[in-house]
Amino acid sequence: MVQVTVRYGLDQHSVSIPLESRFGDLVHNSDLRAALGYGDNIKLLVNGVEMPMDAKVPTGSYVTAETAANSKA
Amino acid sequence: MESTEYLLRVGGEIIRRSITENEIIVPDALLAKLQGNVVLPIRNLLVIQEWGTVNALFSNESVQWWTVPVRRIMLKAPYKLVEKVMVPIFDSKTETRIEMRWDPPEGMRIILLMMIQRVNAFYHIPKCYLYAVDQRPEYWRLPLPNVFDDGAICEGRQIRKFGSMLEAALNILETFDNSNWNADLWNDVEKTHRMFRFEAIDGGGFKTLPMDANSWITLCSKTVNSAIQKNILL
Repeated sequence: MVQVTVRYGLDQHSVSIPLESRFGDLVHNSDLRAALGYGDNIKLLVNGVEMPMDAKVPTGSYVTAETAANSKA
Repeated sequence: MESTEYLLRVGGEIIRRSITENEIIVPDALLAKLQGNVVLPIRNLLVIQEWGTVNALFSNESVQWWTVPVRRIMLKAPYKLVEKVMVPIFDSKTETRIEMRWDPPEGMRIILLMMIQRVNAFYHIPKCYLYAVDQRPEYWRLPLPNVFDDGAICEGRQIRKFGSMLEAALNILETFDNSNWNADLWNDVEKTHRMFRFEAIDGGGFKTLPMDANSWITLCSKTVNSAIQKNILL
């Protein structure tokens, strides 16, 4: 398992996720969503750099979630 | 200029310190560079009638930020009656548009964050953000259409240039008040109808009804956009 902490606004929450998890998995992680209250439209940053959703989450990561800009459909 | 100071340190040690001060002539270009990243927060910059006190962040950059309080939202939209309560139906093509004044519930602070850009001798506002703010503060997107997930407002206006920041800001506020709200970016009808509720009052007109929720936060979605929200001055 991989320990990861995600911050969204002033709140942060830590979870254990399986090895080989991708950043996209964090978007859909129900524990994180319940604790932090984000929806589908977010981007994930590590040290200010936006992470690709298919990139592997390194153990001990500190991830910042931000609301992504959407567009008119 | 030279000066001498004597220091008595704890433990009894006495120190003589000689200070030499010379004024250095700093080239303007260097001074400008040093000031480049300085941001000056100014509270109570001015009061706009019917809106309130404006706070601003000024810098040497071409972009300035104004935080303007929103005391009410004029919702010009079609409405329908649901269980004796008038609620907006932004996607209706048939209902007549009515302008309703919506007053925020107690404990909800609403702000407009204006990005004011200087281009040569003129000012324009390329982006404007609408947020409800809680006590912490965290920023929330109201369950309204015409607002992007990051809080940016889609006013459908033509960006115009003005001779002053105040003129540009007043134009945005006028547009915000007078625009028709439509169904673009409307993603939660139920939450809208639980927050924006009105009833007719005797003698004509409408009044805002209390929202159908214990906390307004449950009807909004948290918006985190640090690059933008760092420019808010509450």
